[in-house]
Amino acid sequence: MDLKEKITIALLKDLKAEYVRLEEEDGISGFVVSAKFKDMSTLDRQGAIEKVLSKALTAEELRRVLMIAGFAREEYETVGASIRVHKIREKAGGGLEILLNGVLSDAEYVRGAFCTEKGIQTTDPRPAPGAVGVSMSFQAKGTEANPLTKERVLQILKKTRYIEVMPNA
Amino acid sequence: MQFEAKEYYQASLERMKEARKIYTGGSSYALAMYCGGLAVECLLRAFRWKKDKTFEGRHDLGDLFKASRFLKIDDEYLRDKGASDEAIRKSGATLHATINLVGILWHNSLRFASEAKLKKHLHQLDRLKGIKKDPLKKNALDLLNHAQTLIDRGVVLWT
Repeated sequence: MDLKEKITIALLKDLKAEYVRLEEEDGISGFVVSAKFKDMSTLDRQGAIEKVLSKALTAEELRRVLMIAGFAREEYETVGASIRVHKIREKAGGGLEILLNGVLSDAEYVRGAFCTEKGIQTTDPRPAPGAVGVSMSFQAKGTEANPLTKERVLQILKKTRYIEVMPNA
Repeated sequence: MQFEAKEYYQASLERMKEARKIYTGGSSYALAMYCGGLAVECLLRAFRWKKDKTFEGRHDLGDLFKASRFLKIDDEYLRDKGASDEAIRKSGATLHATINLVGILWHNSLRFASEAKLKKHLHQLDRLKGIKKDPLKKNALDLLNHAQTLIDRGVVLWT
């Protein structure tokens, strides 16, 4: 398990995080959205995050964490950003390609929406250059007995917080 | 030493973490405030560097805030993500208020300041009135919470 994954699991579990986005470039930085941060000062949020990470990481791993900003749900919904899914394309062979605007962690978040659904397999996200407003894509596929339809994909994505499915997707 | 945007950004987050630790330790509110403001300075330099790679020797946070185009970047980010005009206006107003408060409380010469000197500085700023407990602690907390707000926004805009 890599460090970003370890951090994400700790934040999801102990802070009941709703959304975690991390980037690694000579250290890890990013942000976490949790209802627990409501009415908490920005500095106290850092204390709460540090408490969780201190339990989950070694001292050496902790030094690799630059900072993880903490946002309450309401704040993130106001000044944060939903991940925009621009297109859901039906592929020959039964799968669907999901095209979105964002970085790898955004694509992983969208992909994660399918994890709780039975019988759906997804591919690793990859850059999707060329298309306007789209930067990442991945594929999702159902089973032969229960194929994945565009309607079902729309249902799954629309019920997931922080994802906005664009009109005509 | 010469620094690039990424290095300023990384330093910004590390300084902010240290500022909180020093504040929590309670041994020097002057140093905690200095580190908190320095974190903001590093953040603004990181964004400024993306547009202008020349070195800016001054430590005026208001000027650096303008030069960093932080508000414009925030505006463009929110617009790109489909935020409402009201949300964009509110975000800009919060950032303005936040940098103003940090700019009032922080000065680069805080690095030379003892706790006693900090108290005199805060007295001159009329920031001691009406605070029953430790006024240095209260002002340090105000600065650090506002600095952390800017850093948090910076993290979202950067990642």
